[in-house]
Amino acid sequence: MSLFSIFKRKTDAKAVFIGLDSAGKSTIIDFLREGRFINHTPTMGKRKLEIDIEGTRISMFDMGGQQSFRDLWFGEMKTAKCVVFVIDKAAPHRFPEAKAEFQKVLPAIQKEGLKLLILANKHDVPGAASMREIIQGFNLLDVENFEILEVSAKTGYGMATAFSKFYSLLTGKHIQKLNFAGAVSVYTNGGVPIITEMDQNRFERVALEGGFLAAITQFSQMKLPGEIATQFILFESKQNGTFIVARSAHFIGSLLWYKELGVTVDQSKIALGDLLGHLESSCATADENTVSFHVEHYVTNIM
Amino acid sequence: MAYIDNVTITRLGGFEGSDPELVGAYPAVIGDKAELINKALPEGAVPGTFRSDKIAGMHILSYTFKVKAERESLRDDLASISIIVSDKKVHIDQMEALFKEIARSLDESGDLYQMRPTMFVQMMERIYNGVNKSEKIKIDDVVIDIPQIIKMNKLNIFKKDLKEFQGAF
Ligand SMILES: Nc1nc2c(ncn2[C@@H]2O[C@H](COP(=O)(O)OP(=O)(O)O)[C@@H](O)[C@H]2O)c(=O)[nH]1
Ligand SMILES: [Mg+2]
Repeated sequence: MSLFSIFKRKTDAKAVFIGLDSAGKSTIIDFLREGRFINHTPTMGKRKLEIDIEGTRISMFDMGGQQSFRDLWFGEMKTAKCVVFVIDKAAPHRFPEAKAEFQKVLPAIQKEGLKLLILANKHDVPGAASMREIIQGFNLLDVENFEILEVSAKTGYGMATAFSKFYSLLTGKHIQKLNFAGAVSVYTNGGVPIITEMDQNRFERVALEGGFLAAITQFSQMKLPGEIATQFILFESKQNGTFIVARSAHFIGSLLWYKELGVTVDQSKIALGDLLGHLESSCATADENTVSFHVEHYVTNIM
Repeated sequence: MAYIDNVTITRLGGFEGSDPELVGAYPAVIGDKAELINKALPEGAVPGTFRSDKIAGMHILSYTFKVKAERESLRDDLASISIIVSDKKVHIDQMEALFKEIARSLDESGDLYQMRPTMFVQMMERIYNGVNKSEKIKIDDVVIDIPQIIKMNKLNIFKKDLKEFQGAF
């Protein structure tokens, strides 16, 4: 179960993911399904993935991006409701080629009245193109009715927003991105703080009571039963709310929950578990800067 | 007498400007090259899966696997190894069982994943000869004992000749 499965509404629709090879289509789809980065091989022609939401089915067609597969896009688009066009914003040298493909599919999208979501992926890569460069590079000012978002399927940046947008375009139902936390901190499994992110509107800083740090220390010394299992403890804070503290193989994470967030403690637990799951699979043994970077990007899904 | 007519390796590429391509075929390409690529590495193929199909009236059995990226910045590639069988006297399901054992052994050893272009030819040749002569295949540190696999799994690759039956009556 992933935090993205919290968006539960009825629907029955097909979406087609297209764009040049290596733009990140398959990685994005896997991230939406699993809540974390998954590394894999190029797509042979096409892949069909489904998510069941309240007994109905969303099918996502992951189309191969290589030259010889691009004709397949049109066939699948005929029965789709929504087209997700993925751009690799870290590969501006391929913008002309990507733009040419984009302009080939645009008439079909408009003729069939399909919804169009453009995802500018690989936002994590330093020096990637800006939104302005993309809008210019693809002549987007001339295009009617589309949405564009920056995401990273590697760090998770913007993925929950992208999913809400994708979902509303596909089903016509508006869903709000949820807030799962007032603050999130990540520590090494030895209890050394790495980074804290907080809701700037609400806090200047999260007051840490003595007992909380003691709980982290205690957690860091506890033996985990299995290697992979994430364990949780709750710590009631007098000043702030409830701290959910979780420990995975390499990290300890804490998340500040309070009633006004509008989600349940269990939902926030899942969100924290997803964050640790992502860190474990993407940067378990990386240096502190890399971990901080991933946390900063991933918390865009949580708060 | 040959059990299998050919061993073929294809790959997807997955780097900028790449398309599915024929890496090699031993001893020779069978059928139309484009069709061969299409049958060996069909649409929707994912690592760790087997397929069986027909090409030019012959059976083609394929196994799709991952190949390690050549550089860190590239992604792993998708490739496929196939055997083609024309001999009508071959029990194709029995041959398939043997082929699965070979592919699995190679994949589990990491040989398929680590495969470098220089090893392709050697691998195709050894599999071709190993199966056809029913002898041990040795690729790198991996030994695939064909006679043993046939014995252990009680494989009957060849259909009994009709004449043998007739002689018995
Ligand atoms: N840095 C970075 N790499 C990514 C991102 N998304 C995908 N990748 C990598 O880009 C390559 C191509 O991704 P893939 O999903 O296979 O692309 P597709 O051909 O569009 O399906 C893979 O090596 C991915 O790991 C991202 O957001 N950031
Ligand atoms: Mg793909």
